[in-house]
Amino acid sequence: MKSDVLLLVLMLLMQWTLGLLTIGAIGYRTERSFMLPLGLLLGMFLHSVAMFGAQLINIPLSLQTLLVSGGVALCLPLLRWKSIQSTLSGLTISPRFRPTLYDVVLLGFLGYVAYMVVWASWYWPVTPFDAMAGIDLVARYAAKDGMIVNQVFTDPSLQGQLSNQPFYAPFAMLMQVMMKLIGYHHTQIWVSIVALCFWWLVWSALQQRTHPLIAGLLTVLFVLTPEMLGYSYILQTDFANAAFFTGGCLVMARAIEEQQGSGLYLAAVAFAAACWSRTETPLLVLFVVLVSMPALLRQFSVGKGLGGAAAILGCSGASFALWNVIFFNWYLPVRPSTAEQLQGFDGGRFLDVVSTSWSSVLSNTELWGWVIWIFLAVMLADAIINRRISQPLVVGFIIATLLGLWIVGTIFSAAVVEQTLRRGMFKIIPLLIVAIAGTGIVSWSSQVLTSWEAGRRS
Amino acid sequence: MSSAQRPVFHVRGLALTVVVIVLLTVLVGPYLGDANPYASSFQARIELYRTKLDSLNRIRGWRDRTYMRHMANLEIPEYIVSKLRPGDTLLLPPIEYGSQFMVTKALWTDPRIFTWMVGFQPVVAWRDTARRSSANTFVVLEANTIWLTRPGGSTNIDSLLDVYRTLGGKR
Repeated sequence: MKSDVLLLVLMLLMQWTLGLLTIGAIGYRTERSFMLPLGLLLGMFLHSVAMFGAQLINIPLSLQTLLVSGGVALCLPLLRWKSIQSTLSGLTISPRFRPTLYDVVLLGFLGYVAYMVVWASWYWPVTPFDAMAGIDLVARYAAKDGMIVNQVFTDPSLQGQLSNQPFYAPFAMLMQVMMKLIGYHHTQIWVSIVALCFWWLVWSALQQRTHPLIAGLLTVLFVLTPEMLGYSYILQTDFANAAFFTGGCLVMARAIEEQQGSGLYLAAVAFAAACWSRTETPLLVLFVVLVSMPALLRQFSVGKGLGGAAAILGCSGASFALWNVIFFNWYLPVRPSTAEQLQGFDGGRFLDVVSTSWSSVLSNTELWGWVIWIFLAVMLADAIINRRISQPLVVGFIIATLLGLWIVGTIFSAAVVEQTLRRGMFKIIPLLIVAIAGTGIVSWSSQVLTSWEAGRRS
Repeated sequence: MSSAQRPVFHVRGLALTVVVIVLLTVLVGPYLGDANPYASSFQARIELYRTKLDSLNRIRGWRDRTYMRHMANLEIPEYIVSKLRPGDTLLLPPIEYGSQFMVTKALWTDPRIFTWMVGFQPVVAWRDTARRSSANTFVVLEANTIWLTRPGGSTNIDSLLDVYRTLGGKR
């Protein structure tokens, strides 16, 4: 086996272990099928923060830094070894999954798509303009010079010409640096690994809510969402951001439903990862927390509920500030022009953003397939038949995120509805899919299917 | 629902398998025409690569793979760099000038993309008005032709800059 493949496997194992140990240290109990993909996603985030920390204390970026920073990060959760032991004890139990023939067909199809996605992310060089002008350009010279503050920010040929791209939230850039340090100089394999974890996470959330056949079909609809499928192997910040954000929302919703306070702290880590991967995310997290406040205060004591909300906002704010405040002000020689693009809230512009986003983004089946229309139809039918809104928390998250995206589109002059809001929808689509699975109609269908399959009367 | 409750192999399970196969076939196949957005997306993003997997895998060099993705946006910076002489400072033209003879956008005129393609070079962006006057080498494009010109050469630099200004000023 080539050394770069070995290093990739070693790095992923390290990140996976780091993520799982973190979940264990927090003490959040959940199904293994949900914990595993979430563990790798959070491990990637925490490893990138650890490597960034090394850079903050002027340790040059190198393969050794990558491995040592990962190793050090791995040791930190071990301080809560007892919690890890009790939380992760279920990981080693042999799997109970008994696939039926249609599971095999669905897994075979998804496996084929996954293979092509991993291949494409390995085969093609970086393609999007934003990634070439920012993420990958900075990563290339960070890996070469050993510093994030490299030639890109100092060379006269680029002075005053950097625009926003090199200042994007650092997760994707740091993952590209890692890839280059282990020997993958031109590819973006990590993007497809994030995609696989994201699909697995959503599938697991669907399995918890509905019959495996319906969960599998909804997962296929999610994976094949036209606009998202391409981004599962090309380098951009949005797909990873959506994976973290969705992970945070799903963990938070379950934590509130099950009154598991530790889930709020895990959601805080996931939301911090989302803020580490896209700059406008703290605003969306704020809205999500606000919308969940009534449920938080109802399900937990006031102190615990407010503490959980504060942890989520604090972690998100800290991960935002680490890059946008600390690094920009004390390390980078140049500043982005983001602040100049901020404009006051204008009601007229807000309405314009809302109507444009509906006409050119939300209602466009070329981008999202049938998901939005299925969601609207199922929710409406469910509201009429069952006279209630199923999973009000998830629906609230969807509305809060959409509202947040509209406000971002209104107050940032650089936010183009067709671009920024379009990719912002990546955070909403998985929540729509999960919301569909949790409706009364789908639950009833699930029960009917279960009974029919088992040969019982429903 | 727990998977342990489901019979692993059963006639009803087989019927559901047939339903799944039909649904997947309809979803990614051409049967619903334009009404099905999944089919065209699946064709363009997955099937296209699968059909060409063998021939694509034979192309191993990163330069070739980059060329397949970026075409002239790679080729033009490479050509320009091969013609630069010591002491040259190249003025990158405005994108509108570069795009005149290209099917795609002339992204290479952006100094960040130019740098991504060929590394750091002595270039000045068209929009960099403060350093524009320090340039002493200029790009001339015509249909199927590209060359670099310097003061004292056959091309009138002032006329060329006027063309740059006219096209670049349209934005």
